[in-house]
Amino acid sequence: MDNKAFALLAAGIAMGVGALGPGIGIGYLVGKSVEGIARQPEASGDIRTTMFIGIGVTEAVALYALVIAILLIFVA
Amino acid sequence: MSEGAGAEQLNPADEFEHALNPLSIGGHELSFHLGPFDMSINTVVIYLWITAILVAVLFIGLARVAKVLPDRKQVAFESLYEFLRDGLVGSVMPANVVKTWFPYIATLFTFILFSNVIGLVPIPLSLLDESWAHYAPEFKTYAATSNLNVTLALALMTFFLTHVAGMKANGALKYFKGWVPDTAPGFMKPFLFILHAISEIFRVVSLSVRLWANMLAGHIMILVFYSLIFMLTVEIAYLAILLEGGVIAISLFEIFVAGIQAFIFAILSAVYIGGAIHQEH
Repeated sequence: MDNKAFALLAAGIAMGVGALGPGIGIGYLVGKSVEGIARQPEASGDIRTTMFIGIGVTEAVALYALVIAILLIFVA
Repeated sequence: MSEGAGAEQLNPADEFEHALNPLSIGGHELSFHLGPFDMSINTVVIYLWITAILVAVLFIGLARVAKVLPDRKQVAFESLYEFLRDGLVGSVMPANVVKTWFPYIATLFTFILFSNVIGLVPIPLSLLDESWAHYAPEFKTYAATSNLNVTLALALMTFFLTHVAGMKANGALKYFKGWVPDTAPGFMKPFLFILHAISEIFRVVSLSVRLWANMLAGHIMILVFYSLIFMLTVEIAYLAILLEGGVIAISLFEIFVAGIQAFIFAILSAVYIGGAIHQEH
Protein backbone atom coordinates (compact mmCIF):
# COMPACT_ATOMS: atom_id res chain seq x y z
CA MET A 1 0.00 0.00 0.00
CA ASP A 2 1.16 3.54 -0.65
CA ASN A 3 1.03 6.46 1.78
CA LYS A 4 -2.36 7.70 0.58
CA ALA A 5 -3.94 4.30 1.23
CA PHE A 6 -2.53 4.28 4.77
CA ALA A 7 -3.82 7.82 5.31
CA LEU A 8 -7.32 6.84 4.17
CA LEU A 9 -7.25 3.75 6.41
CA ALA A 10 -6.06 5.86 9.33
CA ALA A 11 -8.84 8.39 8.69
CA GLY A 12 -11.46 5.65 8.87
CA ILE A 13 -9.99 4.19 12.05
CA ALA A 14 -9.59 7.63 13.64
CA MET A 15 -13.23 8.53 13.02
CA GLY A 16 -14.55 5.14 14.09
CA VAL A 17 -12.56 4.87 17.30
CA GLY A 18 -12.92 8.58 17.99
CA ALA A 19 -16.71 8.28 17.89
CA LEU A 20 -16.73 5.45 20.44
CA GLY A 21 -16.03 7.58 23.49
CA PRO A 22 -18.51 10.38 22.79
CA GLY A 23 -21.11 7.76 21.82
CA ILE A 24 -20.83 6.07 25.19
CA GLY A 25 -20.63 9.45 26.92
CA ILE A 26 -23.69 10.96 25.28
CA GLY A 27 -25.68 7.76 25.82
CA TYR A 28 -24.82 7.79 29.50
CA LEU A 29 -25.57 11.52 29.74
CA VAL A 30 -28.99 11.33 28.09
CA GLY A 31 -29.88 8.18 30.05
CA LYS A 32 -29.11 9.89 33.34
CA SER A 33 -31.03 13.00 32.23
CA VAL A 34 -34.10 10.89 31.41
CA GLU A 35 -33.79 9.27 34.83
CA GLY A 36 -33.65 12.71 36.41
CA ILE A 37 -36.65 13.98 34.44
CA ALA A 38 -38.64 10.83 35.31
CA ARG A 39 -37.86 11.30 38.99
CA GLN A 40 -38.55 15.03 38.98
CA PRO A 41 -40.66 16.10 35.97
CA GLU A 42 -40.97 19.71 37.18
CA ALA A 43 -37.19 20.18 36.79
CA SER A 44 -37.24 18.95 33.16
CA GLY A 45 -36.46 22.37 31.69
CA ASP A 46 -33.28 22.87 33.70
CA ILE A 47 -32.17 19.26 33.19
CA ARG A 48 -32.71 19.52 29.44
CA THR A 49 -30.67 22.71 29.19
CA THR A 50 -27.80 21.22 31.19
CA MET A 51 -28.03 18.05 29.11
CA PHE A 52 -27.60 19.99 25.87
CA ILE A 53 -24.59 21.83 27.25
CA GLY A 54 -23.08 18.49 28.28
CA ILE A 55 -23.83 16.97 24.87
CA GLY A 56 -22.20 19.95 23.19
CA VAL A 57 -19.03 19.57 25.20
CA THR A 58 -18.90 15.78 24.85
CA GLU A 59 -19.55 15.92 21.13
CA ALA A 60 -16.48 18.11 20.66
CA VAL A 61 -14.27 15.05 21.21
CA ALA A 62 -15.77 13.30 18.19
CA LEU A 63 -15.36 16.49 16.19
CA TYR A 64 -11.64 16.59 16.93
CA ALA A 65 -11.48 13.07 15.51
CA LEU A 66 -13.41 14.27 12.46
CA VAL A 67 -10.95 17.12 11.92
CA ILE A 68 -8.03 14.67 12.14
CA ALA A 69 -9.79 12.37 9.66
CA ILE A 70 -10.43 15.22 7.23
CA LEU A 71 -6.81 16.35 7.55
CA LEU A 72 -5.67 12.79 6.84
CA ILE A 73 -7.88 12.52 3.75
CA PHE A 74 -7.19 15.90 2.16
CA VAL A 75 -3.74 16.91 3.44
CA ALA A 76 -1.75 13.69 3.98
CA MET B 1 -17.57 4.73 -4.77
CA SER B 2 -14.93 4.22 -7.45
CA GLU B 3 -16.80 1.42 -9.24
CA GLY B 4 -20.26 2.62 -10.33
CA ALA B 5 -21.15 4.49 -13.48
CA GLY B 6 -20.80 8.26 -13.33
CA ALA B 7 -18.40 8.14 -10.38
CA GLU B 8 -16.03 10.50 -12.18
CA GLN B 9 -18.61 13.21 -12.81
CA LEU B 10 -20.28 13.16 -9.41
CA ASN B 11 -18.07 13.53 -6.37
CA PRO B 12 -19.96 14.85 -3.31
CA ALA B 13 -16.83 16.42 -1.83
CA ASP B 14 -16.27 18.55 -4.95
CA GLU B 15 -19.51 20.44 -4.43
CA PHE B 16 -18.05 22.26 -1.46
CA GLU B 17 -14.87 23.42 -3.16
CA HIS B 18 -16.79 25.59 -5.61
CA ALA B 19 -18.39 27.62 -2.83
CA LEU B 20 -15.36 29.87 -2.43
CA ASN B 21 -14.93 30.60 -6.14
CA PRO B 22 -16.15 34.07 -7.11
CA LEU B 23 -19.59 34.12 -8.72
CA SER B 24 -20.14 35.85 -12.01
CA ILE B 25 -23.11 37.92 -13.10
CA GLY B 26 -23.69 38.13 -16.83
CA GLY B 27 -20.22 36.76 -17.53
CA HIS B 28 -18.61 39.40 -15.29
CA GLU B 29 -16.64 37.80 -12.45
CA LEU B 30 -17.27 39.40 -9.03
CA SER B 31 -13.69 39.15 -7.86
CA PHE B 32 -12.48 41.91 -5.52
CA HIS B 33 -9.29 42.16 -3.54
CA LEU B 34 -8.67 44.64 -0.72
CA GLY B 35 -4.95 44.41 -0.02
CA PRO B 36 -4.27 40.86 1.18
CA PHE B 37 -7.98 40.16 1.72
CA ASP B 38 -10.15 38.37 -0.79
CA MET B 39 -13.44 40.27 -0.88
CA SER B 40 -14.96 38.33 -3.80
CA ILE B 41 -18.69 37.76 -3.88
CA ASN B 42 -18.95 33.97 -3.70
CA THR B 43 -21.68 31.50 -2.83
CA VAL B 44 -21.01 31.82 0.91
CA VAL B 45 -21.40 35.61 0.82
CA ILE B 46 -24.65 35.36 -1.14
CA TYR B 47 -26.05 32.87 1.38
CA LEU B 48 -25.01 35.08 4.30
CA TRP B 49 -26.76 38.03 2.65
CA ILE B 50 -29.92 36.00 2.03
CA THR B 51 -29.92 34.89 5.69
CA ALA B 52 -29.28 38.38 7.06
CA ILE B 53 -31.97 40.00 4.90
CA LEU B 54 -34.51 37.27 5.66
CA VAL B 55 -33.92 37.41 9.44
CA ALA B 56 -34.00 41.21 9.52
CA VAL B 57 -37.10 41.60 7.34
CA LEU B 58 -39.01 38.79 9.08
CA PHE B 59 -38.32 39.82 12.67
CA ILE B 60 -38.47 43.60 12.24
CA GLY B 61 -41.65 43.12 10.23
CA LEU B 62 -43.19 40.92 12.91
CA ALA B 63 -42.17 43.29 15.70
CA ARG B 64 -43.61 46.35 13.89
CA VAL B 65 -47.10 44.98 13.50
CA ALA B 66 -47.40 43.67 17.08
CA LYS B 67 -50.98 44.02 18.33
CA VAL B 68 -52.60 43.76 21.75
CA LEU B 69 -54.74 40.89 20.51
CA PRO B 70 -52.12 38.62 18.88
CA ASP B 71 -52.77 36.65 15.71
CA ARG B 72 -51.22 33.30 14.90
CA LYS B 73 -47.90 34.65 13.57
CA GLN B 74 -47.45 36.88 16.58
CA VAL B 75 -48.09 34.04 19.02
CA ALA B 76 -45.39 31.96 17.31
CA PHE B 77 -42.99 34.89 17.35
CA GLU B 78 -43.70 35.67 20.99
CA SER B 79 -43.26 32.08 22.08
CA LEU B 80 -39.90 32.02 20.28
CA TYR B 81 -38.97 35.26 22.06
CA GLU B 82 -40.02 33.84 25.42
CA PHE B 83 -38.15 30.60 24.80
CA LEU B 84 -34.98 32.52 23.95
CA ARG B 85 -35.30 34.89 26.90
CA ASP B 86 -36.32 32.45 29.66
CA GLY B 87 -35.25 29.06 28.36
CA LEU B 88 -31.97 29.96 26.70
CA VAL B 89 -30.46 33.17 28.10
CA GLY B 90 -32.33 33.31 31.40
CA SER B 91 -31.50 29.77 32.46
CA VAL B 92 -27.71 30.01 32.14
CA MET B 93 -26.78 33.70 32.60
CA PRO B 94 -26.82 35.73 35.85
CA ALA B 95 -30.22 37.42 36.15
CA ASN B 96 -28.88 41.00 36.17
CA VAL B 97 -27.16 40.72 32.76
CA VAL B 98 -29.91 38.87 30.87
CA LYS B 99 -31.24 42.14 29.45
CA THR B 100 -27.80 43.22 28.22
CA TRP B 101 -26.88 39.98 26.50
CA PHE B 102 -30.28 38.77 25.26
CA PRO B 103 -30.01 40.64 21.92
CA TYR B 104 -26.63 39.11 21.07
CA ILE B 105 -27.53 35.54 22.01
CA ALA B 106 -30.95 35.73 20.34
CA THR B 107 -29.37 37.13 17.17
CA LEU B 108 -26.81 34.32 17.16
CA PHE B 109 -29.58 31.74 17.54
CA THR B 110 -31.86 33.13 14.84
CA PHE B 111 -29.03 33.81 12.40
CA ILE B 112 -27.52 30.33 12.73
CA LEU B 113 -30.95 28.68 12.66
CA PHE B 114 -32.00 30.48 9.48
CA SER B 115 -28.62 29.93 7.89
CA ASN B 116 -28.85 26.20 8.64
CA VAL B 117 -32.42 25.86 7.41
CA ILE B 118 -31.87 27.89 4.23
CA GLY B 119 -29.06 25.41 3.55
CA LEU B 120 -31.74 22.77 2.93
CA VAL B 121 -33.64 24.88 0.39
CA PRO B 122 -32.41 24.51 -3.19
CA ILE B 123 -31.64 27.94 -4.66
CA PRO B 124 -30.67 28.23 -8.36
CA LEU B 125 -27.74 30.64 -7.93
CA SER B 126 -26.55 29.79 -11.44
CA LEU B 127 -29.40 32.00 -12.72
CA LEU B 128 -27.23 35.00 -11.78
CA ASP B 129 -24.96 34.12 -14.66
CA GLU B 130 -25.94 34.79 -18.27
CA SER B 131 -25.92 31.09 -19.04
CA TRP B 132 -29.52 30.81 -17.82
CA ALA B 133 -30.75 31.17 -21.36
CA HIS B 134 -28.74 28.20 -22.57
CA TYR B 135 -28.71 25.81 -19.63
CA ALA B 136 -31.28 24.58 -17.14
CA PRO B 137 -30.84 26.26 -13.74
CA GLU B 138 -28.80 24.29 -11.20
CA PHE B 139 -30.78 23.83 -8.01
CA LYS B 140 -28.02 23.48 -5.45
CA THR B 141 -28.16 23.44 -1.69
CA TYR B 142 -25.48 25.10 0.37
CA ALA B 143 -25.40 26.26 3.98
CA ALA B 144 -23.21 29.22 4.90
CA THR B 145 -22.52 27.49 8.21
CA SER B 146 -20.99 24.48 6.43
CA ASN B 147 -18.00 26.73 5.76
CA LEU B 148 -15.35 26.90 8.48
CA ASN B 149 -14.66 30.60 7.80
CA VAL B 150 -18.21 31.57 8.77
CA THR B 151 -18.40 29.48 11.93
CA LEU B 152 -14.92 30.57 13.01
CA ALA B 153 -15.97 34.22 12.63
CA LEU B 154 -19.05 33.56 14.78
CA ALA B 155 -16.97 31.74 17.41
CA LEU B 156 -14.34 34.50 17.50
CA MET B 157 -17.11 37.05 18.04
CA THR B 158 -18.22 35.11 21.14
CA PHE B 159 -14.57 34.70 22.22
CA PHE B 160 -13.82 38.43 22.18
CA LEU B 161 -17.15 39.40 23.71
CA THR B 162 -16.58 36.87 26.52
CA HIS B 163 -13.31 38.46 27.59
CA VAL B 164 -14.47 42.05 27.04
CA ALA B 165 -17.56 41.35 29.16
CA GLY B 166 -15.47 39.63 31.83
CA MET B 167 -12.98 42.49 32.04
CA LYS B 168 -15.75 45.08 32.06
CA ALA B 169 -17.66 43.37 34.85
CA ASN B 170 -14.72 42.44 37.13
CA GLY B 171 -11.86 44.75 36.12
CA ALA B 172 -9.05 43.41 33.94
CA LEU B 173 -6.69 42.33 36.75
CA LYS B 174 -9.36 40.67 38.84
CA TYR B 175 -10.76 38.91 35.78
CA PHE B 176 -7.45 37.28 34.87
CA LYS B 177 -6.83 36.45 38.55
CA GLY B 178 -10.19 34.68 38.52
CA TRP B 179 -8.87 32.21 35.92
CA VAL B 180 -6.90 30.52 38.73
CA PRO B 181 -8.56 29.22 41.92
CA ASP B 182 -7.47 31.16 45.03
CA THR B 183 -6.85 27.96 46.97
CA ALA B 184 -4.17 26.72 44.54
CA PRO B 185 -0.58 26.70 45.87
CA GLY B 186 1.53 29.63 44.63
CA PHE B 187 3.97 27.72 42.43
CA MET B 188 1.11 26.02 40.56
CA LYS B 189 -0.63 29.25 39.61
CA PRO B 190 1.30 30.01 36.37
CA PHE B 191 0.67 26.48 35.10
CA LEU B 192 -3.02 26.69 35.93
CA PHE B 193 -3.19 30.06 34.18
CA ILE B 194 -1.63 28.64 31.01
CA LEU B 195 -3.93 25.62 31.22
CA HIS B 196 -6.96 27.90 31.43
CA ALA B 197 -5.70 30.00 28.53
CA ILE B 198 -5.39 26.85 26.40
CA SER B 199 -8.92 25.81 27.35
CA GLU B 200 -10.19 29.24 26.30
CA ILE B 201 -8.62 28.81 22.86
CA PHE B 202 -10.03 25.31 22.51
CA ARG B 203 -13.48 26.71 23.26
CA VAL B 204 -13.21 28.67 20.01
CA VAL B 205 -12.06 25.55 18.16
CA SER B 206 -14.82 23.32 19.50
CA LEU B 207 -17.53 25.98 19.08
CA SER B 208 -16.66 26.63 15.45
CA VAL B 209 -15.81 23.06 14.45
CA ARG B 210 -18.97 21.65 16.03
CA LEU B 211 -21.30 23.77 13.91
CA TRP B 212 -19.18 23.45 10.77
CA ALA B 213 -18.74 19.66 11.01
CA ASN B 214 -22.41 19.03 11.76
CA MET B 215 -23.65 21.08 8.81
CA LEU B 216 -20.97 19.81 6.42
CA ALA B 217 -21.53 16.17 7.41
CA GLY B 218 -25.30 16.56 6.96
CA HIS B 219 -24.94 18.06 3.49
CA ILE B 220 -22.40 15.46 2.43
CA MET B 221 -24.78 12.73 3.63
CA ILE B 222 -27.64 14.16 1.53
CA LEU B 223 -25.35 14.54 -1.48
CA VAL B 224 -23.98 11.01 -1.07
CA PHE B 225 -27.51 9.59 -1.07
CA TYR B 226 -28.41 11.60 -4.18
CA SER B 227 -25.18 10.46 -5.82
CA LEU B 228 -25.97 6.85 -4.96
CA ILE B 229 -29.25 7.19 -6.87
CA PHE B 230 -27.29 7.96 -10.04
CA MET B 231 -24.54 5.43 -9.33
CA LEU B 232 -26.56 2.38 -8.28
CA THR B 233 -29.81 2.67 -10.22
CA VAL B 234 -28.06 1.99 -13.52
CA GLU B 235 -28.32 -1.71 -12.69
CA ILE B 236 -31.22 -1.87 -10.24
CA ALA B 237 -33.92 0.72 -10.94
CA TYR B 238 -36.19 0.17 -7.92
CA LEU B 239 -33.35 1.04 -5.54
CA ALA B 240 -34.05 4.67 -6.45
CA ILE B 241 -37.28 4.61 -4.42
CA LEU B 242 -35.41 3.26 -1.39
CA LEU B 243 -32.62 5.83 -1.75
CA GLU B 244 -35.10 8.68 -2.23
CA GLY B 245 -36.66 7.56 1.05
CA GLY B 246 -33.20 7.78 2.59
CA VAL B 247 -32.76 11.31 1.25
CA ILE B 248 -36.08 12.39 2.76
CA ALA B 249 -35.24 10.78 6.10
CA ILE B 250 -31.82 12.45 6.28
CA SER B 251 -33.28 15.81 5.20
CA LEU B 252 -35.84 15.60 8.01
CA PHE B 253 -33.06 14.71 10.45
CA GLU B 254 -31.07 17.70 9.17
CA ILE B 255 -33.92 20.06 10.06
CA PHE B 256 -33.69 18.71 13.61
CA VAL B 257 -29.89 19.06 13.60
CA ALA B 258 -30.17 22.64 12.31
CA GLY B 259 -32.26 23.61 15.33
CA ILE B 260 -30.14 21.68 17.84
CA GLN B 261 -26.86 23.14 16.57
CA ALA B 262 -28.21 26.70 16.62
CA PHE B 263 -29.42 26.08 20.18
CA ILE B 264 -26.09 24.59 21.33
CA PHE B 265 -24.04 27.39 19.77
CA ALA B 266 -26.23 30.06 21.38
CA ILE B 267 -26.42 28.39 24.80
CA LEU B 268 -22.67 27.71 24.96
CA SER B 269 -22.02 31.35 24.04
CA ALA B 270 -24.36 32.37 26.85
CA VAL B 271 -22.61 29.99 29.28
CA TYR B 272 -19.16 31.30 28.36
CA ILE B 273 -20.15 34.97 28.60
CA GLY B 274 -22.11 34.38 31.80
CA GLY B 275 -19.16 32.49 33.30
CA ALA B 276 -16.80 35.36 32.50
CA ILE B 277 -19.12 37.96 34.07
CA HIS B 278 -19.90 35.93 37.19
CA GLN B 279 -16.69 34.07 37.97
CA GLU B 280 -17.17 30.99 40.11
CA HIS B 281 -13.83 30.76 41.88
